[in-house]
Amino acid sequence: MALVGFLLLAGAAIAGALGVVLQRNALYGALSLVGVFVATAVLYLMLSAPFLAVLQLIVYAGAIMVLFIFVIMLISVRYEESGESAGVPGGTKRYTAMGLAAVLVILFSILSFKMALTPSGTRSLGGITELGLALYQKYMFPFEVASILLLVAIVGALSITRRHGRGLEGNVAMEKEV
Amino acid sequence: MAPSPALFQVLAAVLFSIGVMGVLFRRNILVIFMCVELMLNAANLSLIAFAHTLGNVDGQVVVFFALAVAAAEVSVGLAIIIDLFRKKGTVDVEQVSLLKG
Repeated sequence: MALVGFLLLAGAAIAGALGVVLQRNALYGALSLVGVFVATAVLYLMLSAPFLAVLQLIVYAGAIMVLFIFVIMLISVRYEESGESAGVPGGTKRYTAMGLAAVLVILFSILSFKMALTPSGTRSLGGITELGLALYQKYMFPFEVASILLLVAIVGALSITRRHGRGLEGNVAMEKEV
Repeated sequence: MAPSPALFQVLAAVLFSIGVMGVLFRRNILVIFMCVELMLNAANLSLIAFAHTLGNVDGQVVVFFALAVAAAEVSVGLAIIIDLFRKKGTVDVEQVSLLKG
């Protein structure tokens, strides 16, 4: 039963990932990526990590993807990759990509099967209690550093996109496109 | 029957490989960025699967921090992309090769 669920979710995740890579329109790619994130969130639930599953939905599928879709709408709805650059690349590029993917997958598979992983029983693991205890005791310092990192990211994003000089100076490209 | 832990690792490897392919062979910088997110997500899945297998909550803590870093990375990265588009009028990486010499 759980195996069937896993296979369905894995299929959905892989299909969504292929959608991200192969869709010509970046907006459809973003929607596929939301699908991948939802599928992996359910997988997190199967792996006894309910808190991270919820966090994945809120942070990734919610906040981050909304930001992505905002930027795609702002920039590149009309800009679609033209000609052969779109979708599946042809010739040598395609074979290189397939070979690379095959090597990676085989390598990872061999590695993870060799390690003879066995599940460690059914004790609950990723509830808010355990995670919170670990976060606020063992990982207190990294936790605070992460908050500073987020603050710096906010300031950085604002200062990068701030328009230099007055008005629309240095904004030729945007005017030409819109 | 529960799926074997190795299956989760294989799924993470497949997702990661697809992300690598996207980064290598797409030219739209937004799509490349989304593929990077895909790879991060695959790594997170692998970490959570290992945490489950080993019965240890540390892997989940790492994923928690990876989420925070990913949020920061996306906000700064998208800001750079917007600035790039303002200056260059394109999101095609082949046409933005200032540092190529």
